[in-house]
Amino acid sequence: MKFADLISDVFLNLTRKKMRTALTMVGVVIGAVAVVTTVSLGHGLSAFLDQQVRAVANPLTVEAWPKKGASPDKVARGMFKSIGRAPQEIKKEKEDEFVGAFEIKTVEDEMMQKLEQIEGVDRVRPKVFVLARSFQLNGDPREFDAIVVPWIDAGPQVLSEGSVFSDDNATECIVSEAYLESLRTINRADPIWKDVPEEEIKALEGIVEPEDLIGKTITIRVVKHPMLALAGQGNMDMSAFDDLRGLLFLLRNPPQDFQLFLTELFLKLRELQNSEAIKAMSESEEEPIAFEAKVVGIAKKGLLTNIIYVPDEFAAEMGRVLFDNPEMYTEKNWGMGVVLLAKDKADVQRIKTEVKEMGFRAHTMEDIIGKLHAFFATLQSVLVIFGGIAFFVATFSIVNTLLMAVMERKREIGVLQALGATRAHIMKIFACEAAAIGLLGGLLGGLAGWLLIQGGNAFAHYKWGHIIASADIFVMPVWLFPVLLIFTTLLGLGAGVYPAYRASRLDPVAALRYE
Amino acid sequence: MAAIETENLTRIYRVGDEEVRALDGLSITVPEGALAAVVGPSGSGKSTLLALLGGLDTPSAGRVSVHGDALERMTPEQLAAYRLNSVGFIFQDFFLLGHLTALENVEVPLKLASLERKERRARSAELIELVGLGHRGGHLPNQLSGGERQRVAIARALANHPKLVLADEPTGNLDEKIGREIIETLVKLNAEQKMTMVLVTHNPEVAARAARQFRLGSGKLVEETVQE
Repeated sequence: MKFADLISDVFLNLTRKKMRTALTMVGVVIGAVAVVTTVSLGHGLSAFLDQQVRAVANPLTVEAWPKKGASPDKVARGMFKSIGRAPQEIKKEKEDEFVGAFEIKTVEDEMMQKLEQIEGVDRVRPKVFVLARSFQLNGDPREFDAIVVPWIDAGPQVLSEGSVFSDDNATECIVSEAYLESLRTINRADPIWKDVPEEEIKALEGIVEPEDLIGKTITIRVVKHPMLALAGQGNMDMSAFDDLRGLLFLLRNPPQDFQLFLTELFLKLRELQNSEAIKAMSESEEEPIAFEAKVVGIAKKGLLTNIIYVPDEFAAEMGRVLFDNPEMYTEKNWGMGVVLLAKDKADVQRIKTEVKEMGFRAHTMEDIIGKLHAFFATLQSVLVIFGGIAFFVATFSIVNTLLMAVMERKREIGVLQALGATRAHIMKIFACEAAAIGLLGGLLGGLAGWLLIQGGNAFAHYKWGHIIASADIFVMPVWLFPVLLIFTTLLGLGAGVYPAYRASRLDPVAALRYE
Repeated sequence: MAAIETENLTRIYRVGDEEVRALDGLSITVPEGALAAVVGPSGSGKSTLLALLGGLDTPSAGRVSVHGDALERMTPEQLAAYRLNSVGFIFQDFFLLGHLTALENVEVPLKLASLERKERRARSAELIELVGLGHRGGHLPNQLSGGERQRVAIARALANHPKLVLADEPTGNLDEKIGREIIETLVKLNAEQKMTMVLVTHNPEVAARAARQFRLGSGKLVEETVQE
């Protein structure tokens, strides 16, 4: 029999029991929809965040941190590793993982100079942290939330309008275009506007286009953090951790007497509650310090809508407030990490290697993106399991339907055998019917999934399109549809093997007698 | 040369612990181009003989040779090829495929033989015309009368120019008049197309039209009649 005839017979047979064929396909369709949407979501988010990171992160930088020393993840690991385990011996090479041995390690000036000597390095800056409380356009009574980012961490690719900074310590800034959205929505009913003269409100309402904001002066308020202030001065108060450790010790080694245990627990909890360090971590009563800056440029819209970029030295100035330490980010105290700016992108990887050889932990923008992709790849494979379950169930449904079809069409099989059909031919008919169910299910599910992701993207554009320039949350990779069809067809074929084999082994005489 | 030769042909079925000898050492010969009738009471082995001659079943012992081919030595694939190319079956219950039209039913063996669509169309139209149903080709079996269905089945049996046609009670489900017409058609085909034909029948009138009659009883040959 010719292949084309076989295929047309197969589809003719499937249309004989339309409802049953459709119901059998449901499992495959659900699986296909699940796979298309989850893979596209993972792919889309991964690509989207990749794009977002690239938009705001500087591809020329290498961040370096001393290997030994402060690292929040190490402390957390140290604290929770000991729960429920016998006390651990403190090994020299891992001592910074023990809470009690935790120390702040800063970059020494000598090291800083060595890092500057690396070939291809344009400059080395301390890794500056600024805790901004607010952004305020001068003359506007409103304050908006803000994230202050030193220019070295971003780079000129973020700029959409205006110019870069005139100087490393100029009191200038580049603000996100998204601020325009917030600024132009003025609610006059709000009492905050009561004392603002009408002409000033009018002037503020005139700020619509990016160029309207350029040249204006803004105020950035920066807070001081007592806990970090202590750390910045090199004598961080570790008593909070001690209090916590005391509590953990009590929970792990409760006294025999329950009443005594409760009393001790109460005392420990109260101790923790009254701990100066814990209080310091959660409260900041000091007034924020205000910095004025002139807007020289507008940055493209991104996922983080409230970004303000400032020149590196200006950022360091603000960073010193956070640590309440005028020596911070100077040769006397370079802080806990540094950023190296490469002259050329081609040198970034080599610089990273050299920095590591000098005893630092180092990472680049590509490392962050790599981790992001790895995370989404894992997430995707977990999500695909749901589709896998649907496919697994669909397999049984196909086997069941075909076994039923073999029973029902027993006499037809006998007739075909009498007319000269070989075992292989009978087998092909049923196996191809199963494969066709898989193929059609994959096709329908793939299309339904595609429609769903179009809907999802339309929703994302509707919801976030005004803030984020491109918000395709679902991106269907080109290979997905063909791979899905091949997979569902093979799945059907696999499910069809047993029923097809049963059909091909029927005794023609018995099959013809079957009522 | 004889078209059919069986020697000591035996077919034993097992029903539980019991052995049923459906055919028990049957030896017959049918000359080429002859119309032969197999008669006998129910359970005498008529249908078993037909299944063995048609390669649907294999003997437990003995030999069965059709046009020089020893069927008992053939593999399942060879038997399928034999059924496709050398045998045409006609059944009491017609066994047409209900979802196919008369013409499409006739096309089934042609499809199995990998004929091109155009050739298939021409051949099936020719056969439907031959059995006098030229105007009913596009009808589904349930739109046809019993006699018409059997004519479609005859056309289908002739599709691949078989040398042997095997008919199992072809008139069993038809009224007398229609049954007679069917027999006339078969007799005519046998005479015109020179194909060997074996009819299994209960009907003495039908059997009387055959050149050779084999009367079976309990799987054995009871009587052989040759008409001159």
